[in-house]
Amino acid sequence: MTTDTLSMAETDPKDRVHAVRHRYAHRGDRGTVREWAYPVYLTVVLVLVYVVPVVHLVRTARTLLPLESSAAATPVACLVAAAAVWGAQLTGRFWGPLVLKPFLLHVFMSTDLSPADYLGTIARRRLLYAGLGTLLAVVTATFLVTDLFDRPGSVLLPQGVAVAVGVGAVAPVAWLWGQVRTVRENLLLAAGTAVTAVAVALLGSSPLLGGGGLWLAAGVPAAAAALLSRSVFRSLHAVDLARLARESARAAEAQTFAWTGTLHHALDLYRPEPRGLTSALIRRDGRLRGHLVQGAVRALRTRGRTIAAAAFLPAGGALLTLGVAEPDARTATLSWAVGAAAVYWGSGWVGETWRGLRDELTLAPLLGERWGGTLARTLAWPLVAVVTAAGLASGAALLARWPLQDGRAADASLLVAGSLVLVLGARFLREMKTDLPVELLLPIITPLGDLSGLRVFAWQFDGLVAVLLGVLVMNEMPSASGAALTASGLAACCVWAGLRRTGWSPRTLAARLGRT
Amino acid sequence: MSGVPAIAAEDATVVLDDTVLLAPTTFEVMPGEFRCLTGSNGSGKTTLLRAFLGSRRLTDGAVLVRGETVDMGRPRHRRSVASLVDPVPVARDMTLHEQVALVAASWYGNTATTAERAEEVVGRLGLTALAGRFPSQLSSGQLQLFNLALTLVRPADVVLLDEPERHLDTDRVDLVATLLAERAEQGTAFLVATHEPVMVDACDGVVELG
Repeated sequence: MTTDTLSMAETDPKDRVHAVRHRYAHRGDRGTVREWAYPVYLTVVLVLVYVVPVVHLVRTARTLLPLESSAAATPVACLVAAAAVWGAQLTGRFWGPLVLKPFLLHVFMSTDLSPADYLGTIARRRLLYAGLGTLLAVVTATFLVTDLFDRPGSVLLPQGVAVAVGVGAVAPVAWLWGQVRTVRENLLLAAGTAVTAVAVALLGSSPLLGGGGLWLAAGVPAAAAALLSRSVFRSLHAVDLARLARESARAAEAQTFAWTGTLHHALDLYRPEPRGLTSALIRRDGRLRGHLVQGAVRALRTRGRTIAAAAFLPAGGALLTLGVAEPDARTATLSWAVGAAAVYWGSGWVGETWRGLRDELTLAPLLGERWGGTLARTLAWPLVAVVTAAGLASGAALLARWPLQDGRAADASLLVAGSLVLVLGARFLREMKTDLPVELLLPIITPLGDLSGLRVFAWQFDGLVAVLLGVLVMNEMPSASGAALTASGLAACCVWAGLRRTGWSPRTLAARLGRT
Repeated sequence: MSGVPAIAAEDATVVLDDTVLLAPTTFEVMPGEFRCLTGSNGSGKTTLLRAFLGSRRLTDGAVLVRGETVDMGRPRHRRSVASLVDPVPVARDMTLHEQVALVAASWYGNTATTAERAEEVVGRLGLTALAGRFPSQLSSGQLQLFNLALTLVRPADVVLLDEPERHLDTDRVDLVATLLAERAEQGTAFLVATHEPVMVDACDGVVELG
């Protein structure tokens, strides 16, 4: 049965794609309406119970970002649009709109159909959904953070909505661009976005446009979306199918992990494979290099993560320092929390050795009974890298704000040190995570219902939750020394909980330490 | 096209970091020919199949499908070549028959041919009684037959198979060998990497690697 037996009537691409999609949609074990209705019902209830009060609190609090005029709002709009494009591109590199169920993709890939025939419709539909989601997110964020919706008759209101529509149009296209275009083309788009955003922001802030800066900030993304979408959809027929198959397989596996409550396993699938520097760990005479060099070499084998860490650690260190150095500023707490979160993320990306520690503590011994060696091997590099990068940026931020008020320098130093200790403790807690403990699934009955789902959700992001809660608690402490002590105590709790996760009871831990 | 080999290797070589994965290999398989690829572990059987499939680049020499260089991105190549070389992703939530019919539908659309081809290949591989089962309800051998059904339900000028006898008992190996020989008589060229004497006996010739 060769391909010569195929008749023209049977081989119409549209019919074939329709036949496959129709059969797949009516597969034997697909989700029923009732099965979808229950999660939707739960989501609505969760939104009503947890999100609505938060929205109410934010709306009744002081406006975080007042936008008095178009000139003031245009740079913010440009920043939001640029961030949306960059974020969408980055997301597309890992999880793009063309990702399909592996079997369905395999079926299509094994035919002579052009990828544009079977991916085009799916991409258009997903881009529409993504556009609507982005529009909703931007409008909601504007509603919560700015005072744009507080003045219904303001001329800024329709302009703000137009900007949201523009961002909602360009972000999905950038998402697809991120997936199907090469790294070079993505860098070009990112750079072009930056240049355009700066130009529009400068034009909008100047009196040249006479208050029409926001219209420009809305029109440019919309025009860019139209231009880019023509180009990106034309390149669908030449999409790298082998790469798409790998991405789809990884996404399916990650989705299974995420649905079964182990998001960290899902995220692990997106860790880049180490590359290069294959002989850098060993000296010419055959001896291993020092622990710090080992950590640095292993970090450099995953350059993308290391570059991200090199950006996040100093930026986070500077932000949290600005937050603690000027506690009376309106965004001080936000700056502190965001800075601490950035250092937390950077601390994970800066080294691969955290996982080494978890593996040495949880798996059968491989490297011998040198307990001191284990800690030095695995913790020396990330601790030194985090403290150095964040500490230097913190020092630079303090110098930039010098002179501070009386006694503020010492307080700020204490708070920065406390925050770093807290972040490192939270990172340790996160990295020692293994499988979801079954006891977390037990119900927690409260007047608000069963909160076990919330506990499982918090467990997924426990390190970040520890950092943010810790910062909020430190912020409420009456003195800097008290806050630093509290942070140290929280970090110690995180370390203890992390060690418990690896199965180390106090007795065995003491015994092992005693054998040093 | 009758004089053009279905597939041909001309000094096809793959070297990775000074390790020879496939020593220079030259041979041809004509349309309707059923050829086996034998050799010890590591001799390059799977590497050669991947080269014909287009998922492995050669470091030297060439591989041709119907006289054209291999390029997975070209629709004509995908039209000609069917393969069971790397693991096939299956849908957990579709029955065996649904999945085989879906592959057939990707070629024949919503026509009677789709149902006929699916019924035929499922029947020929002895899977009719299991047609309503999900993949998780199949044994290893039944899964292998299911994978073969997914590969053989579509039309192809060239079929590449890597150890199709995997997990199968003697009767099923006979069944598969007979089916491949019949399909070859209808004009399809087969290149089958195997360690199974029954498969080697059923084929028209052997390419020995290593």
